Parts: sequence; structure tokens; C-alpha cells
Amino acid sequence: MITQSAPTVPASDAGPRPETLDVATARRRTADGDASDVVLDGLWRRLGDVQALAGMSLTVPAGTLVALLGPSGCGKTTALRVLAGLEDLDAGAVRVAGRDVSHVPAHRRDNAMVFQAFSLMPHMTAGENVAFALELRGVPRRARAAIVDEHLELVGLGSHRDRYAHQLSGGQQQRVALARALAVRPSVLLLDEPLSALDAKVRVSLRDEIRRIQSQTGITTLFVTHDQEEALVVADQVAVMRAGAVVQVDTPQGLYQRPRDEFVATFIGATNRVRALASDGTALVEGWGPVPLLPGSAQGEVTLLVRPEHVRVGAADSRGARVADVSFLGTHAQVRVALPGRLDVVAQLRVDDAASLRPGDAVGLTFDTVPALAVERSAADGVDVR
Amino acid sequence: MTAPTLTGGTSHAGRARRRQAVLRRTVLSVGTVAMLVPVVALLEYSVRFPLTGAVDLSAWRKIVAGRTTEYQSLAPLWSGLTSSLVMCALTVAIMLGLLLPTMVWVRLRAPRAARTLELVCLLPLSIPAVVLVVGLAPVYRFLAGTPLGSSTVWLSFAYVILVLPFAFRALDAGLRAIDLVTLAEAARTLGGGWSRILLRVVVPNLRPAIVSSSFVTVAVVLGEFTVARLLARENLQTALFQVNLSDSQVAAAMAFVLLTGTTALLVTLELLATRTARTARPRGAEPSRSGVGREPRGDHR
Repeated sequence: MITQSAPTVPASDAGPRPETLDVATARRRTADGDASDVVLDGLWRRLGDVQALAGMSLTVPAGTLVALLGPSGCGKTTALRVLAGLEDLDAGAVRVAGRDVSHVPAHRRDNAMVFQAFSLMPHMTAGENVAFALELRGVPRRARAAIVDEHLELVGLGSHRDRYAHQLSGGQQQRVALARALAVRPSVLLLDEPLSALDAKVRVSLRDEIRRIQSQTGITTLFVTHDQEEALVVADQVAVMRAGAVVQVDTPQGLYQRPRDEFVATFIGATNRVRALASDGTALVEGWGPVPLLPGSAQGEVTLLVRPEHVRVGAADSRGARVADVSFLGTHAQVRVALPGRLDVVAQLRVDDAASLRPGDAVGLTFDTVPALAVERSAADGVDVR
Repeated sequence: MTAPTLTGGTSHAGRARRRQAVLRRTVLSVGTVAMLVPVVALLEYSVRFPLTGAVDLSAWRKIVAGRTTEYQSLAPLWSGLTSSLVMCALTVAIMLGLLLPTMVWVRLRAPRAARTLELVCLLPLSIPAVVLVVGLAPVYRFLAGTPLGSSTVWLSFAYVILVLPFAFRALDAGLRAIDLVTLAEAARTLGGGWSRILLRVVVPNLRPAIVSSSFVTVAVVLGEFTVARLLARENLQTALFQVNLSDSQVAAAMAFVLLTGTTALLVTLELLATRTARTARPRGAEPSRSGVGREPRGDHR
């Protein structure tokens, strides 16, 4: 477990190192309604012709990692830059630990940020980069070396202290950038798609490391990403953004299982669109029996959004469903089933269950009785010809 | 059938390469001779007595003697040299002090003004020095009435305008080679104010560009004649012109010293810049820039 020295206290005077935080402690503080939360309150920001933020509000509980997820251009990076002080606000307020920092310059905000682009100072070694951050925060020179070593060790690069940025791989550069950000012990750690420039394997390994380090240090962290898998794996909570506002904030599991609207349901994971008749919290899918509905579902003639893993493929029935294609994806198989006059339905099956299926096979479909979201039926869902 | 064709092709390519090499060497030799002949002539002129053609080192003795009462006629040369050297330092300082923060600011905070800044900086290229003096004369008349007085060194203000295009190009190339926006933002979020960013982030990464722009400035200032002459100030070139009227051998010797000195300065600064760049980025690697979409060597962990 890592401990961090307070930047303004010389090592010799520091005595016992300040408190060690773990995520459990952080969660306890959050549950008590700690005032050290980060609050983005009704942020508005226009960039040229684009309304980048349109009343965006979000609370990042102290000690947690919140992922800001959304498609390109939804305003997530603008929100992060506003929190960092790198972007001005048209309206709204940013509060960190109860203090309004909306108009505080970036260098006085006690944040640290890891950027999408590699941001190590090219004329400094890895160690000098971390020491430079400490210098900027006024940490005495004699206290820096130990903190530098500690944080380079934390990101697994203790032996790379004397290497320049160009002598490090992309993943290593981002690790050093992370060490540099953590070393100043910021109130808020801001991660702006730090893994986007890395290849898939390094991305996964660094992603796990970010999660581990954040859990160890308990630093309040806002992680911006457009990669839903990254957000679901790393975050305590995920905030989904669309058109400059937060649509839903929930735990990764909650977000996946209980999407608030069609955008969230279709943006997070895959969904099938199945026509149904909804009333009294239940949707009747013709011939397939009732499916419970999530709160906020539409009523009447609706489109039911069903996850592929909740679709079962069984013996043929009178509906004329046939297998369109079968894709093996290593851990599971994906079976596309064509229905006369309807949109195809995709089922996610165990590889063994899908092994006997061939394109053209007549099959029957059933749905798990897991709550699903029903939305207003749109023209894209086709006409029911039955 | 294939072998003879290949041999023929190779032999043809070889002949073409040889012809190109000969052409290259010829052009290089002619160029070198064309440049060296006047220099050698300059040197020769400075060491021969004009009437008899005998070797005479008196001009060099006068220069080596420096500023003494013995050679009063050379006094302008020394004061001109002093003025020019002071102006070199002053012009470099003013140029860097004005241009570098402005260019950095425009890149970071006002990218839309970049074209305007470029236009303004390149404008002096299209204005002849004579025309510039017409505009500058009233300014210097006004300056003469202020505590600054009419000292030659204030020509530095005019020289800053003259060197703007060259200095701008050198600094612009340096700034383009680094991801200034990301580096500055990283430093700001870590707690760095603008002055720290300029001194600890920008300047070290732009050292080769700063050295280049400074050298160009020194070269322009040491060689400037028109503005100084038309504004009736005494710098090295005007002093050389004046001394040339009374003691042309000394003027020739001094011109030779200046020429070799400037060349030595150029080579030294170039070596220094190359070494600085190599220290910062060994193995001639690319400067760090936005790495979006690339992963140079994979992760070694």
C-alpha cells in the first residue's frame, strides 16, 4: 500500500507520513457525505459554433474513480478541462472540497492531469519529470528524490528513472505521466483518455494498473473515455454524457442492467430491438410471453431493448425464425437469427450451445425474464407484417 | 537474356552516378573558389604595401595594437566595433524578450492570431532599409530628445525590426517541433505559472531554435550598414567604410577578421546547437509530440 508525503512538508519535518487511504476508507467518507466531493454544477460552455456543455452536472464522490463516458463530441473532455481550469466557463460552478474554484487559474487548483497525448517534458528524464512536478508544487529539493523513486516504483518504472521520454515506449511514457500526476498528491486526478494512444495489450495492462493505484491511493479521480469497456472495468461509477449533459450516473453494473433511456441502453453494450406491447410494467412480446420492464419504460406499442445474452435459442416454433449466421468469438458465440418481417435478433450463446447451429436452421427464440427497457417505437424498427 | 540487361542497366546507372558525382564536385569546387578568391584577395591586400607589392604587416600591427593613441585614425573602428557588439547583445535580448513570449502566447492562447503575427514578422523582408529609415528618422529624432539620447546602441530597436523575419522563422520551426500546448497544459495543471512554463519548459526545448535565431541576429547586426549610415550613427560597418577612405589596408584586414570571426561563430553555434539537441534527444529521435494513435516500441513490461 502506498503512502504519500504532503508536498509542502520537508521530509525531515514530516514525522509519520500522512494518512494512508484505501478505497474502503474513501467510500466510508463518501457515505458520510464528505464535503471533499468534486461537484460540477450546471456547467455551460460554448466553443465556437458548438455548445460543448449544456447544463452538465456531476458529483464525483471523494476517493472514488468516476468515468465520464460518451461518444466523440459529447463534451466529456471539455468538462474535464473545465474542472482542470484549462477551459473557461460560460455559466455554472466547479466546487472541490466545498470550495468554488470556477475562476481559479489552472496552476492554483491542486489538480493533476494525464493527457491523451504524451506530455512528458522531452528535455527531462523520467525522474526529472516527476521531480519537476514536485518543484512546481514547492516541495523542497531534498525531499524530492524519495518521492520520485516511490512513485516510479509505484508504476513499475523504478529502473527507468534516467531515461528520456523518447527512450520509453508509449505505455511507459503514460506510466511516468501517471507517476508525475500522483506524486504531487492532487485533490483530484484527471485522466483524459490516457490509454487511447496505446495498443490494445498495453491499454488493458495500464487500465488495470490505474484501477489498482487509484484503489491504493484513494485519490478522487475523473477518467474520461469513449471506450465503454474501459469505463465499465475501471470505474466505481460511470457517467454517460450526451450533447453536453450527463444522461445517467450509476455503477457499471447498474448502468448496464438498468439503462435510463435508449441512448444509454444502446451506447453501453449491444441490444436487440424487439417490438412488443407494454402495459403495467410488463411487455408482451408476441408469442414469447411477458418480459418485466425497467422504470421509465414507454407504454403501448413499444420497442423492447433486449441484451443478446438474454436471448435463448431453442427448438423451432411456428414463427419461422432461422439462423442467419454464427460467429465464434473465443469465449462465446454470437448467433444472428432472422425473423420474417422483423429486425434480426442477435443471441449470445456458449460456444458449446452454438456448435450445432448452421445458417438456415429453423430455430425458436425465448427471452430471459430479466427487466428490460421499452422505448417508443420508431420507423427504423420496421412494420409488423406478422 | 536477363543477365546482360541487368549488367547493362547497372553499368548505365553507375555511369549516371559517376557523372553526377563529377558534376557535384565541379559545382562545389567552382563555388568554393568563387567564394575563397575574394577572401584570399582581401587577405593579400591587407599584407602587401600597395605601391611596391612587398609584404607589409603594418595594417595587422595596427589592429593587434588595439585602441591606442598612436593610431588615432582607427578610433572610429574601435568605437564602431564596441557599439556593434553591444547592439548584438541588446538586439538579441530585445528580440528574444519580445518575440519568444509573443509566439508562445499566440500558440497557446490566440492561435487565430498566428497568421497575423507571421505577416507582421515577415513584413520587414519586403521593406527596403532605405524606406524603413524614412519612417525611423522621426522616431530617432524624438528619442534623441529623451533621456535615452542619441547613442548608437539604440539602433538595436531598428535592428530588432530587421531581424524579425529571420528570427521568427527559426523560432517558429522550433515551436512546431514540440507539442507546446500539451506540455504547457501539463505544467499548468501541475502548478506551473506562465513564467515557469516559459523558462523551464519552452526555453530548454527551443534551445537550438533560440541559438539559431540569435546567430542570425548577430550576423545581421554585425553586417548592417544602411540604417546606421542613413541615420548618421557609427557602427562597425560605417566605421569600416570611414577607415577605408584613409587606411584601406586596415579596413581590409578588419573585414577579414570579421569574416573569419563570423564564420567561426556560425560553426561554433551550429556545433553547440547540434550537441544540445543530441543531449536532449539522443539517437536523433523525434521530439515528443502528440502521440495519438501511435505506440512506438510497445511496452517492455
